[in-house]
Amino acid sequence: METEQNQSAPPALRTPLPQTGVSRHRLLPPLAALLLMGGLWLASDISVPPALAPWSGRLQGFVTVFLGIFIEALPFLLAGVLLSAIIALFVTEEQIRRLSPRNPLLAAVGGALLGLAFPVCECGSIPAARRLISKGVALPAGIAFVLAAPVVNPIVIVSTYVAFSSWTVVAWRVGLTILFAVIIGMLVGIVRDASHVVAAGVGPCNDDPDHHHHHDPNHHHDHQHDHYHIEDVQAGLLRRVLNHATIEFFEMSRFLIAGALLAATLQTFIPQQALMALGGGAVLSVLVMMGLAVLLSVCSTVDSFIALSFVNTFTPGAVLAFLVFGPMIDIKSTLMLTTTFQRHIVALIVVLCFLLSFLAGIVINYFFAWGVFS
Amino acid sequence: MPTTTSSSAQAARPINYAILTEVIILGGTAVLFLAKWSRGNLSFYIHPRYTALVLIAALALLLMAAVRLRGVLTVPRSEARLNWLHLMLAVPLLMGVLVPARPLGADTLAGRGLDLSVLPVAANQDDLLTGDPSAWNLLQWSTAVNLLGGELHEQPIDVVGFVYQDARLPAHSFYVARYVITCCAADGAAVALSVQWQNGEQLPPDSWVRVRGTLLVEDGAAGAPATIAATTVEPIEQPDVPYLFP
Repeated sequence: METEQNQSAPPALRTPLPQTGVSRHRLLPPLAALLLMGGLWLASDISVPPALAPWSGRLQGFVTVFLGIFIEALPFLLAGVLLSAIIALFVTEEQIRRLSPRNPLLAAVGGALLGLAFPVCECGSIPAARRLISKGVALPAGIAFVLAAPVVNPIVIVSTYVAFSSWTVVAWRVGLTILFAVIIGMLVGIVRDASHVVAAGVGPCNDDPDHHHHHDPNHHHDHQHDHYHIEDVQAGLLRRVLNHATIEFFEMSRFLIAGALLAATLQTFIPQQALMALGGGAVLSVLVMMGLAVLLSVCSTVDSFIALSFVNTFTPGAVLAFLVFGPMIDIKSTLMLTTTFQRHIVALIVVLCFLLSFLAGIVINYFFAWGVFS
Repeated sequence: MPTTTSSSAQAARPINYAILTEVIILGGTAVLFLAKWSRGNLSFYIHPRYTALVLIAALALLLMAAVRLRGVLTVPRSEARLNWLHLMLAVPLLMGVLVPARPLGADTLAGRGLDLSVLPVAANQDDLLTGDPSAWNLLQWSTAVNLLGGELHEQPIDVVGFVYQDARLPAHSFYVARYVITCCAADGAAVALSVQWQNGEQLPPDSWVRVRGTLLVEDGAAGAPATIAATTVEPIEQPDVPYLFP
C-alpha cells in the first residue's frame, strides 16, 4: 500500500491514489491467521488424528526449512538495519552529496563497488541502500549498490574462491555482477525522475521532521518515525541507533518472512527432481539454474557451495547464471526491494536482471564454456 | 486527530500495547534462538559455523527489546498502533515455540523426491575420500560409488542414517538416507544407499538405524547403482547432529 503513495513528490503531484484493495486487506489478516493456526496445530503434534499424521511430518519439514532461512538471514538483516541506522544518524546529506559523483556512470560504478567497504549480503544491502538513497545518493549508485553488494564484497569473494578454488570463477562472477549492476543502475536510475522510482517514504526529504502524515490510518510506519524524532532529542547514542534499527527491522523483516514462507512452501511441495529433469541443454539449463536460485533463496555468502554441487550436472553458463542472478533476485530480496523501490521499478529490475543473466549464461555456454571451470 | 504531546502522555502513562508487542516479539525471538542453541537444536536449521552469528543476533535483539521497553510507558498510544504486518514477526516465533524441533527427514524427502544422480558436493572429492573407509559416512560412500563404481564391490560398509521407504525399491529393501547441509536447511540434499534386508520395507520411515554389511555394485561402471547387503540393521537414537556438513 505504501508503495502506491508518493511522499517525496512535490505537493502538486501528491494526489491521493484510490484506496484499492481495502476490503481485501481486511479479509487477508484473519484468513492468514486461520491458515497459520491450522498449520501450527497440525505441525505441533498436539492431539493430531493419525489420519493427518503425514501432513504433520510434511509441515514440520516446512517449518525446519522456513526457520533455516529465517535464522540464517536474520543476523545479516540485523547488520543491515544497524548499518542503516548508523548512516541515518551520523552521515549527513552534505557529506553524501560531496562524495557522490554527479556523472551517472561514475555513480553507478561507485555504487557497484561500494559493497567492498560494506560487506553485506542481500538482506543487509537493501536497508543500507534505502537509507543511502533517502540521504541523497544518486539513484544509479543506489540501484547498482543494491544489486552488486551481495556479490562484490570481501566475504562473498572469499567464499566463492574457497568453494571453487579458482580465481577464474570469482572473476566471472564479480565481473558480470558489476557489469549488470552498472547497466541496470544506469538504465533505471537515469531515465526516470527519482520520485517515480523510489517507494513512498524513501525520498530524500523523508528524514525531515516536518514531513509527517497522519491522514492515512492504514499507513503504519509514520507514527514510528514521529516517535523516534521525539526520542532522539534526549536519548543516548546507542539508544538512538537501536531505536532506529528496531523500526527498520520491523519494516524489513516481514518481507524476509513472506519470502522465506514462499520459498519453504515451494521447496516442500515442488520436487526439485522435476526441475532437474529439465537440466540439459545450453539454453534450458541456464533457465533451470536461475529458477533454482529463486527457489532456494539462499544467502549469497553461501550459494557458491550449493552451485558447486551442480557443476557436474549443469552447463558452466547455467552455474554462473545461478551465481550472478541468485544474489540479485530471489523471492525474499524481491519482496524486500518493494520497501525501497516502487513496484513497477522492482518488476523492471527483476526483468532486466533476468534477461542479462539469461543472455550471459547462453553466451558463456556457446563461446566460453571451456574457460570457466578450468 | 488530537495531538498528544509526549509530556502529557507520560503523565497519563497508558500502556502502549503496540510497542509492548514489539518488545515481546524481539525478546521472544532472542530467547527462542538461545533456547534452540542451549538444547543443541540449532544445527537442525543451520550449519554450525553460523552458531556464533546467531548468538550475536540474539544479543542484538535483546538489546533492541531493552531499548524499546521504555517506549511502552512513554510513547502515546496515538503514535503507535498495532499493525497486522508488524505481527508477521510473530510467525517464526510461534512456529519455533509450538512446532517440535525436527531435522529434515523422510517426510521432506518424500515431498522433494530422492535424486541419487545429484551429489550435494561434487568438488573436493579427493579430500572427502581420505581416511579409513570403515569410518566413512553416507556422503563419502555415495561420492565414492559415483567415482569408483565397481572397485568398491564387496567392500565392508558401516553407516548411520534414517529409514526412507520408496515404492520403486524391490521387496525386502529400504533406503538408508541422510541430509547434507551446506548452509541452512533450505539447501538440504539427501544422500542415500539402498539396503537389502529381510522385511526392510516394514521399518518405520524416519527411524534411525546403523546398517552394517557389504556394498554390492551391480555394474563395473562408475556411477552404477549400489546396494548394501546388510548383515545387521540396528535401531539407534537420532544422532545429536542429524545432518552431514561437508
